[in-house]
Amino acid sequence: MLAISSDSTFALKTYADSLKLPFPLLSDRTLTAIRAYGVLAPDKVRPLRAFFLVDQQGILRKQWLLGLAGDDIVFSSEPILKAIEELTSRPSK
Amino acid sequence: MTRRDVPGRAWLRRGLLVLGTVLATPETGQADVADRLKALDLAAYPREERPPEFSGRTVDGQRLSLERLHGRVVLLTFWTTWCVPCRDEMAVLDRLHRDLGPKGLAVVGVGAGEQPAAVSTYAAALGVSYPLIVDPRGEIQAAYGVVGVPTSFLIGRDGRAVARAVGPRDWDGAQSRALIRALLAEPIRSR
Repeated sequence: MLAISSDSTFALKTYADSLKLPFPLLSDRTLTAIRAYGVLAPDKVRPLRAFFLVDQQGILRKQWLLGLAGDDIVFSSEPILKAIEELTSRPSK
Repeated sequence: MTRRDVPGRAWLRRGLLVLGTVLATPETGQADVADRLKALDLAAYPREERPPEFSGRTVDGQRLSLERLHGRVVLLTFWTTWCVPCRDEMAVLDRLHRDLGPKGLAVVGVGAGEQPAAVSTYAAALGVSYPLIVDPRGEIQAAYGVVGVPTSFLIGRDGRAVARAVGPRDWDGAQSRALIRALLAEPIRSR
């Protein structure tokens, strides 16, 4: 699992430390990856919250586009966990 | 001539003193800081890490920026009025500010997401004497990635990030004071 943010590495270090996150946080200050995944908000400044599920072959299998951080997003992790289970239970080619 | 008056011995003593001074800095100072960071459970930053610049208005209307604090050791602490451990820590930080402020320490509080009136009332009730920046939109908080309070940052006299503390610490204890004194003894380098 990887997380990408437009925040600075400095901010992400504090964030990861505070929440004791066991996965890496990547800083995308130039919005390169955020643009490439099509999740830059209409204000061209902030990224939208989104999840992308990529399989063992590097093929994008599913995506969930949620909205801006701070928006009143009702989000359940269940569909994502189910999709990961389905994907990981398949024999890899 | 007594043993104490032997000229060669005096030169030797001076030579050893100079050698001792050379050996004591700056590597020994850095090791001292590193040991104390570990003892206080502070997360150390790499030597070249710079904290985000900020500029904000204090509760008494003064503008305060990190740039203006260059040359001082800065203890930047994020807090809120609803945080109970922050309240206890503020009394400790105030003591530290009164003692080490004249020696070059700048304790700065940031009221994360707090409104000026709330910070003003709170500071007056507690008798806080160090500057409190009001950050109602959480902009400084976001730049530093703070998601829990208290969270504090130690910044060296040369403006580099030294360490981070998530959660309260005994800032007034012997280890903390020794750490701050070691940072105060560092030379000021230009940015």
